[in-house]
Amino acid sequence: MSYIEIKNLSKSYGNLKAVDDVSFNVEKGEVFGLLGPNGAGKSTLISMITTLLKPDSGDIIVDEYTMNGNNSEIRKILGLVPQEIALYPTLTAKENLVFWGRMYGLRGSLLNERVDEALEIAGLVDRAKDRVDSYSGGMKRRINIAAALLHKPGVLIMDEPTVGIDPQSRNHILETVLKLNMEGMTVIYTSHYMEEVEFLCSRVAIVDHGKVIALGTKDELKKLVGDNDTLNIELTSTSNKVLDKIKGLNGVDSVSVEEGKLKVITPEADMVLARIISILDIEKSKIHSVNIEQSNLESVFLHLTGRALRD
Amino acid sequence: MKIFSIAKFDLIKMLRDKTSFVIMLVLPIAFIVIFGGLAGGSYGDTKIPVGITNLDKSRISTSLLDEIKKDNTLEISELDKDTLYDKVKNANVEIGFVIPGDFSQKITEGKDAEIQTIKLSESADYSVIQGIINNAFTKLRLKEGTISYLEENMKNIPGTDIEKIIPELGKIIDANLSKPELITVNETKFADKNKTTDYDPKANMSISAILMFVMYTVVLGAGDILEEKKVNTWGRLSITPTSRSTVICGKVFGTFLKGWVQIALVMLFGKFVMGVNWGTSMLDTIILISVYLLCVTGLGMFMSTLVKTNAQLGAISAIVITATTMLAGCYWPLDFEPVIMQKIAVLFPQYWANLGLTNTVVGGLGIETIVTPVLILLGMGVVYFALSVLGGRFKVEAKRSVKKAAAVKRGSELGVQSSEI
Repeated sequence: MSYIEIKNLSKSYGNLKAVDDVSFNVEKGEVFGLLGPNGAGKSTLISMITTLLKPDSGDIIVDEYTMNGNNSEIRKILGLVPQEIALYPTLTAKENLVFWGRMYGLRGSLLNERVDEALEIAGLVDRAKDRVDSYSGGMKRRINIAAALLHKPGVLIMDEPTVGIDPQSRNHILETVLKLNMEGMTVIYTSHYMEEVEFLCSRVAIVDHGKVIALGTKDELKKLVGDNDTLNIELTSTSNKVLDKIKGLNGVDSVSVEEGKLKVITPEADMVLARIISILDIEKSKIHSVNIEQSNLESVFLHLTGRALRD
Repeated sequence: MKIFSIAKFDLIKMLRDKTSFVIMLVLPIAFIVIFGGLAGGSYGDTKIPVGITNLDKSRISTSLLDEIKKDNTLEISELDKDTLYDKVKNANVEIGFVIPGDFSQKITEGKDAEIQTIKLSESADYSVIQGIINNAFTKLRLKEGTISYLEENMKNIPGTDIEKIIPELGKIIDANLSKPELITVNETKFADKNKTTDYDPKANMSISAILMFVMYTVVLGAGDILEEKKVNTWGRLSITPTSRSTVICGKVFGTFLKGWVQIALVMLFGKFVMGVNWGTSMLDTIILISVYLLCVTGLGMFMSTLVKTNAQLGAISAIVITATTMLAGCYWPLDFEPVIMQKIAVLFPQYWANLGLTNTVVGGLGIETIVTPVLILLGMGVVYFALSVLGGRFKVEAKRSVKKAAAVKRGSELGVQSSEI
């Protein structure tokens, strides 16, 4: 039996199906990734797994506890790092941790011990007595994570934990997740940053429009794209005419535009690139840079949905 | 334990917000200083006119009148019965008292001696006057009780000059009873149902300031849940093993403590800096204020279910609290308001708290005079808490049907969803 079992989970808001018949399992000790663009339904899914939201239908089983009858038991097993910073800004980091520890039933010397450990993990021992509102975004994120670790949860659920932070804090967080996982903690990691999911997760569910559109190990998912490469072409300007011409080329699997860059998936990168350059020359579109990537989760998503992850 | 932790950290958060904390103290204190000072001046110059008809004319009733006349707050006129009625009707005197013909006889026999009260309508000064009369009456009973006991026991002692001793004894008792410390002794021995205190006009304004400003603190404090939703901690609290009822109890207790911190500091400032007399029965005051705090916490929780943000709650509170405090007769005597407003006033917690506090602090009346206000405030509190539960459920249903889809699209649902389970 898997550590977490999600069976046919659905949740609607009016006519909108936020989560649509989602099923997957998470094994003990793995880092499981939920990858999808903003609004794909990841947060709704997480809210249901963490007992915050009632599903319309389906079952959630965590460590053999079925939700609704055993929410309190499930809450003891789970540690959630919410997408937004969920801390009291006028309290110090230590006070915040003491408060959240008490809410998980910790007291006395055990609480103090866990608070010290959490501060150590966050790398903020020296700033423990500073108010959270004096922290940088990255430091707040780290305390936000530390608050979820106090009760040593069986499963750490991280909902987009690196949104809007500096690279240094991001690296610290990713390294922390890996370290916790190596110590045996199961992690569910949601992100729309393909690189993070690829770096951390052993298995990944790709979510779009409330559905799991692909599920498997990273290699299994990449096989869905075949031997395709991704051409990243940065242009001074793009037009629909250029896009249509590129889409019409033989050997082009899909084309999208992300942050001004053309993303072209093709099994024949060299040949297609020459033709694209020719089109751009005719259309008088200047090239800033060209980069050829081998298949990754981003290209898997593009292949499956025809859209880039950050569209 | 978790309830205490939630309350404790709520209190710390309040103390950390230094600007709000200073405003919380400065505003009521400024109110007491400005309006209390003005009120003190006006009461100091103008005495309350009171008419008394003494049908008894005995030494005891005359002694009672002399005692009442000693109080500088009242301007006593001795009138015949018809004139007294006319003067009350024409509002020439605030209140009239008739000392019945058998007054001294009943006192001597140890029976209840009733004094008839004549008044036009409820007056803000009534409890003050009643307090002064009770005080005088209590002193009289002590004096008379002592004298009659000595008369009884010394008349058979040879060589004792009763005629000389009794007047001297009366003077000594009078002199000693004028000392405030002896009021407590007086109450416990003879009149524990008639606790009394000197009238302090500043106390009236202090009560009004406390009732209004603590209501702001508590109502806005009860809206702390909205703030928790804003900083996303409400959602995080909802997924801890701490039950929703424990969290709510912690919040209520925290709000209660915040209110008491404000009240205690304002009362201490009033007492030691402004010289406000908070009366002799702190227990009555503590009970009444505690119940009032619970009641307005319920009101705050209910109001917070009607709005989405703390800013909205602040805007509504400013209107609701200021208006209802005025209507409840905290700023001026209820007589100044139209009859319909006087009837509406009883719907507001400030009315009952003001009534109870005026009775106990200003009037120095006994604990029995706060029973009704306490019970009504408790009842109102229960209703407000029940409404807040119903209001919260209604709000969640409304959100489910209307606003969730938008939340999903934003991809940021934690704060919104937190109230669902």
